[in-house]
Amino acid sequence: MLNTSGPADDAAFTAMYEEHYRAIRDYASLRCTAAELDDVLAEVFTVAWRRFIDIPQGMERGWLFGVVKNVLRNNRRSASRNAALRMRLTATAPRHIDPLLSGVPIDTREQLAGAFNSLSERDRDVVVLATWFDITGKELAAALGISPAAAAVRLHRARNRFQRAFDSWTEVEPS
Amino acid sequence: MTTRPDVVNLLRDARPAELQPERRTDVSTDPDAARILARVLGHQPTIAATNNPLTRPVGETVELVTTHDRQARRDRRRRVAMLGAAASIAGVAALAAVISIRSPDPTPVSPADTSPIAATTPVSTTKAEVPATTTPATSCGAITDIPGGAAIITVTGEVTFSGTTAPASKVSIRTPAGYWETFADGTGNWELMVNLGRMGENSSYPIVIDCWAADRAEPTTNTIYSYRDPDT
Repeated sequence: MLNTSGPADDAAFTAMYEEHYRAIRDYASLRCTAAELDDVLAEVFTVAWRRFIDIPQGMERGWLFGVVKNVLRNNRRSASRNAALRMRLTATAPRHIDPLLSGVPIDTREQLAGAFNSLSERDRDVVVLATWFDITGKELAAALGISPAAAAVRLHRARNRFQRAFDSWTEVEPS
Repeated sequence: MTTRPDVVNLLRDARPAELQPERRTDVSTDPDAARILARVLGHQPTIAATNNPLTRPVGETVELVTTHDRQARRDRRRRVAMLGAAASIAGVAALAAVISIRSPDPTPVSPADTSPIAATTPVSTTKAEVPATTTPATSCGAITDIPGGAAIITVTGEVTFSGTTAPASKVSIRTPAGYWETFADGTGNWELMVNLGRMGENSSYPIVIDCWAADRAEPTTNTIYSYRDPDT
């Protein structure tokens, strides 16, 4: 089911914007620099505005997550054509987490950070969406542009790899 | 025997403070959110509360400002009537607009003042009520800076339907400085004199170009360009 209001319906768009701005900003802030954040957000919501009637109702947040990924991917492609820009666009993957995690028991902080940082970019992205953004299976599917079943499989495998990395992680002492 | 910790739960506990569960954001009290929303919608937040023409309904106010004399206007009206009939017959569908800005006076403009503005890449392209069977195509040509703020904006628009192309019936332009519209001259070319004014240092103008089909109450295409005055 699609939104029935047209793109010119500023009130409906603004309501959606207010509902999801924070989550989208937070997610984008994990994947781009602070200097880029405004431009990325403006581009994301411009796409949303232009395609407002295409956004599946109830899936707005997942759809917007997907747009963030696409916008950043496009930015990265542009950066590859410009050496100067490439230097600024280094953080397009979810950032590595700091071992000094305040909400985690001290004895597992390094282990958790090490396991997370050992994951691939794709696994980190899926795990972050599922845990830090409490995204539903359908929203994850919308964000990844794949079917809900495929999204569930991808999340399941990422979690397993994360758990295995956590269980087997051993800190390498500096020599 | 110890229980193996669930790594996902641990990671959830490690959620950074700035990513705590989202709250509904009031864009009116969040300047960052308000600024981005205004940018998306083509508004200027600093003037939105002061009768900003951009916030008016499309076509509400008509202020035809052209440099043509009365005879030229009569000719234009006659061509509009002819075009309106042609456009209705064609069953107007998609529009293409090529916009350029040139100096309103014949005084030569120095090369430094006529350099193309790289920042005029459209920040948003087509949004509109368009018949589902058509695909509007809107493109922007080079925009040349004009010193002094005033400019004549020349718009060329075409309506394409079922392989048949005809000039669009009307074009309107909304900027923070005002609203202008004019009607077709029969060739698909329009000239509108506008005063873009001065927005101050590091500001940019949202220029909204609305193209109209003869038989529609709403513009068929609605394109926003971000125009940064290099003089500021």
